[in-house]
Amino acid sequence: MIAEETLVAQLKDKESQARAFEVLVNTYKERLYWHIRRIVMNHDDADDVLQNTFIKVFRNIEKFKGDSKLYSWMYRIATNEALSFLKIKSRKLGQSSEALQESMVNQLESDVYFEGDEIQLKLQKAIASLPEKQKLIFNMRYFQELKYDEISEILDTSVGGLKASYHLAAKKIQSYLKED
Amino acid sequence: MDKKYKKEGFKVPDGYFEGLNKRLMDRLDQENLDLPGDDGFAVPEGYFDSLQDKLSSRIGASQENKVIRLNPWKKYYLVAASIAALVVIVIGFRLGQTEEFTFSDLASAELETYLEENDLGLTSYEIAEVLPIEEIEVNDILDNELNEENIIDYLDENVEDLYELNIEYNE
Repeated sequence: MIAEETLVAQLKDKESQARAFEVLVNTYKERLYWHIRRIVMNHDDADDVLQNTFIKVFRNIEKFKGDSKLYSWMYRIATNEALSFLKIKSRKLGQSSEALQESMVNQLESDVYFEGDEIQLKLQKAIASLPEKQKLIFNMRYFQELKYDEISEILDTSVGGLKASYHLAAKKIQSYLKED
Repeated sequence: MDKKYKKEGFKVPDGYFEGLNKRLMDRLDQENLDLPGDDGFAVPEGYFDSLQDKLSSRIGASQENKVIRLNPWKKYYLVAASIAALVVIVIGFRLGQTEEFTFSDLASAELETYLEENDLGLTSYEIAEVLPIEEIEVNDILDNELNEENIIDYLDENVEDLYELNIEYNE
């Protein structure tokens, strides 16, 4: 795989940027898609947000100073884009963010791109009931299997705080699943 | 060990408290969850293969669509017309009333309604990028002034886990 510094340098160079962007998209598209999809739940919305994320990365690559890893920077943009998308959506629908989460998860039952069984649907309901940050941390740790160090860089939170939040989220989910 | 914690002859093994933090963190790490490993989400067939083309056409379209003016002098006519219109309006205004009309005369409620009702096409992330953060005080964006009592009430009602606040005690 191409070294990150080389890729960033190529993205900043007009001559090589188209090819480098292709490499960037191919390297990160699936990881970022699944991160976004677990926040917005619906495939069409995830596609919109993913495209906006890559366009933003492309347009703002000059501003990337290399203080963090490119991967963390892109994850941060994807997270912000997805959360902003949901805020705009809830404002347009005149719903609170909790009500929007509830309607999103209820729509999963009829979503052709959700193939989960009853337990997986209940798991999504449990995750949707968590506070925003716990939800992000749980999805990143449990489903995406990111390391705490990586999540810490993306969400700018201490590893200790992340572990405590993950633990709490997991407990809440387990007790939610035990309810009838 | 601090004297005030020595009670009734109870003792703890050497180094117990020093290693407690690490042991707790290790336990949090090892916890096994009895949950499905897959979340059930699926994507349309061939979606990831077509993404590159969609992105390339979006970037290409925005770079190629530069406006070519048919009449390069038109913008100067427009500027001249705008200035003339402004002069007419100002004169008309001064004739009609004696007091000047300024930006601050606009009711802030009207501005707020405009911003609320019109989607400016900006995400909060984009707005945050252009706002001069250094010049903004927290109370500028709140309806009620934030005092200690409000903060404590808020934390009481909304924070489930004080760990998340990462408060460092100085005591």
